[in-house]
Amino acid sequence: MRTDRDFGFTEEQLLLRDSVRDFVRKEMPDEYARRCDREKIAPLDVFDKMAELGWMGVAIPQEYGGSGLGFVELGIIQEELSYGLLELAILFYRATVHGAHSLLTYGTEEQRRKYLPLIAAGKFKSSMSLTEPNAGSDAAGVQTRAVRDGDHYIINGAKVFNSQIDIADRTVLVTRTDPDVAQHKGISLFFVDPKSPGVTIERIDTLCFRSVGTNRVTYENVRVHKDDLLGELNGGWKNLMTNLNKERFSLSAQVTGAAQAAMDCALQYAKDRVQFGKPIANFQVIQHKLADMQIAVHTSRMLTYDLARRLDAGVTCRKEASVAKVFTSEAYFRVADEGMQILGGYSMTPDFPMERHYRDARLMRIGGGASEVMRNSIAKDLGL
Amino acid sequence: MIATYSEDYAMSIGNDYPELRDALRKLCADYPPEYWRALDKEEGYPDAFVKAMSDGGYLSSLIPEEYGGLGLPFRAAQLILQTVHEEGCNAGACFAQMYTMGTVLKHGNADQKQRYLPKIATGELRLQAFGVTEPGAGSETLKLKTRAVRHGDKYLINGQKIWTSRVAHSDLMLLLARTTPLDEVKHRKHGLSVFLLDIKQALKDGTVEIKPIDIMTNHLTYEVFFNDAVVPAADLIGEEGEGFSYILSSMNAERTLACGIAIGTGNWLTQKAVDYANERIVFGSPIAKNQGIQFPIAQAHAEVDAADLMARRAAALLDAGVPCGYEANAAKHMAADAAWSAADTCMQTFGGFGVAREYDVERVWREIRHLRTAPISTNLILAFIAQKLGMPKSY
Repeated sequence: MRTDRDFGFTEEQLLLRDSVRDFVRKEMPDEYARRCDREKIAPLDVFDKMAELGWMGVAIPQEYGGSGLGFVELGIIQEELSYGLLELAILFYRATVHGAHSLLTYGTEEQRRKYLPLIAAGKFKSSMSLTEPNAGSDAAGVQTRAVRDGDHYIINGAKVFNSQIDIADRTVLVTRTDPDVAQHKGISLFFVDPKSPGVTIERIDTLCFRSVGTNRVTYENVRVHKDDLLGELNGGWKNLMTNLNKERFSLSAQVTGAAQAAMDCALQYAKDRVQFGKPIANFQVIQHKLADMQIAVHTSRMLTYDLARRLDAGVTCRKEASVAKVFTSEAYFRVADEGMQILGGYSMTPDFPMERHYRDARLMRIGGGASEVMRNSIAKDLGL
Repeated sequence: MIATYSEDYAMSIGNDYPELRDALRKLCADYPPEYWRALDKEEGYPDAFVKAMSDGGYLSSLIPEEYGGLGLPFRAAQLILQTVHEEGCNAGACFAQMYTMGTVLKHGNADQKQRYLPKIATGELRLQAFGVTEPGAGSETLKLKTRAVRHGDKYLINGQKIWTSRVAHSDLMLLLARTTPLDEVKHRKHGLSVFLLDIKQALKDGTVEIKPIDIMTNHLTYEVFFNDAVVPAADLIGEEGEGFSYILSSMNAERTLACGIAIGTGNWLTQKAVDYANERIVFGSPIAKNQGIQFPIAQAHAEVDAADLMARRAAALLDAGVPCGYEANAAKHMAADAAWSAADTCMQTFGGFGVAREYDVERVWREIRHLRTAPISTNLILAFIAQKLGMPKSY
């Protein structure tokens, strides 16, 4: 039977959603999600099973081995994967959106033919290496240098919070190739193999996102062939910007699924937990918290799929992408925080997923563009 | 308008106890962030820090001088905790040693006070475990089921507690157990009694078993199982059946002291955020130059400061021996919320570095969250304040 959550999707999209949902219930149950977080296990086994089902190629054109579907489908998959474990959805996202869409939007035909079929088959993982110790929100301030040397570029520098690079086949490395022009005009992207000599990767101990995790990376005289330049020389910044809306969309879909999971957990707990002679769900203040959570999740989902349809239609949507990212990530945090309050002391234990949601949700207000940066961007789009 | 006191009481609003603050700052300097970070990672107990606090007499601050304590007011004890947390240390592992003895001091007989208080004052005996909460009785204390049945000159304890902190680092446990079944009591608030249980001995005898609970902070809390644990009748505190009222009266002290932790932590976080915002250069200038960064920090500071005044009021009333259920609870509520909002702001200011463990922000952010749930949840405080305002009981 279809419910209110089905409105607006085609039958095919609902079938896709149901199959991802079944897959997640089976392959990423709570116990496994907990183990991934606690024991720092990247769920690559689940990734491989997804690849066998062909989901990695969902938004890659058919000519490159994908199924040529769009952002609504990408959103559905990410939302449902995230219901099981946020980092599973992110693993999927980094493989399909970061890598594939970088190639699709600014790769050469040769690069596309070389990598996209592998990505679609799930045999290739990529990563994005942008943030540096002194270039976070001010991303155009990257200092990692790439200097031409014959057919190669020699790369030196340091990146931080580089997630998934330790398991990636290639990373989109953001470098400075011209230090003498305005900072956003001297940036170039390379598609670099992290196993190249001179690359050192060190895991960072963090509060959250401990399954796939994040890293500090140094590049010491790393040689990269000129054919691995992505897009035109010194044109990297513009290319990076084209993918930001897709990133914000993906994060919105992910936090929506995770927020739904946190809310479902709190709802079940409120019904089960008896205090003062009745389930705490009978108390109005708990009911109102759950109502607020429902409002947050519902609004997040609407913003996410509205953005998906804009991306599919190819209309300008920078403002909408920023709105969705800031709203959905803050909504997820509110849901997790109220979830903590509803679960009381038990929220602190790994017997329930709430403490993981609470930790993970906290990063979503920072990563992928901090809330403050989103608001700056919205203000700019308002002409301020 | 719901103040429970009619006279005017003096309350310090300035930099009180400067010598106490100075001495604690010196003590805390020996326990830098690396010390706490390492303990957090290995889920260890801060033995060295607790020993220093104990040796300095700080944990005996509320024990009268005749029993070997410092005999200081509640305000001083609150300030001790505040200063420790302002200096980036964490008294969570030992602050219960300061107030758990209050029930013995207030309701114990002369023999019990003589036997226990001097040793608690020196730290020879650690009384920092308080067995109240049970799996089915969290906010609803009167529903607790752990039974104490008298057999001659002793009581046998059977049942289960949960969220009992520091059990493995205590010699004694203050235990609330049911001595008269709920359906036999005249008034529902009767029938519970308070005991001092020799937890070390009981663990050795196997009549008490403990199981650590895995939680998101390094807080060392346990499930406790009692299987014919023995308490001599001489260690029943006060009258049998009156335990609930004793516990209630001690809770104001606990809440008032918890304010010290929240406010100290709030101040540490705000300072940390200010320092980072002033140092971190993004888009060519310190991020502190942005209103989007500085206003939340300013807001957090004002909230912590407001809570500080409420906390001082609660302490002043406690010191004057005036009932202060509202003031203690309202102060704890505001302090816990203010500290939490300071933590959230500090983390947002730090951006990605806020979640990296080496900056300590994420650890303190995790630690401060539980003050909104324990020792009493925000929901229950609001329900209590609403009743005090003359609205019907909502639960």
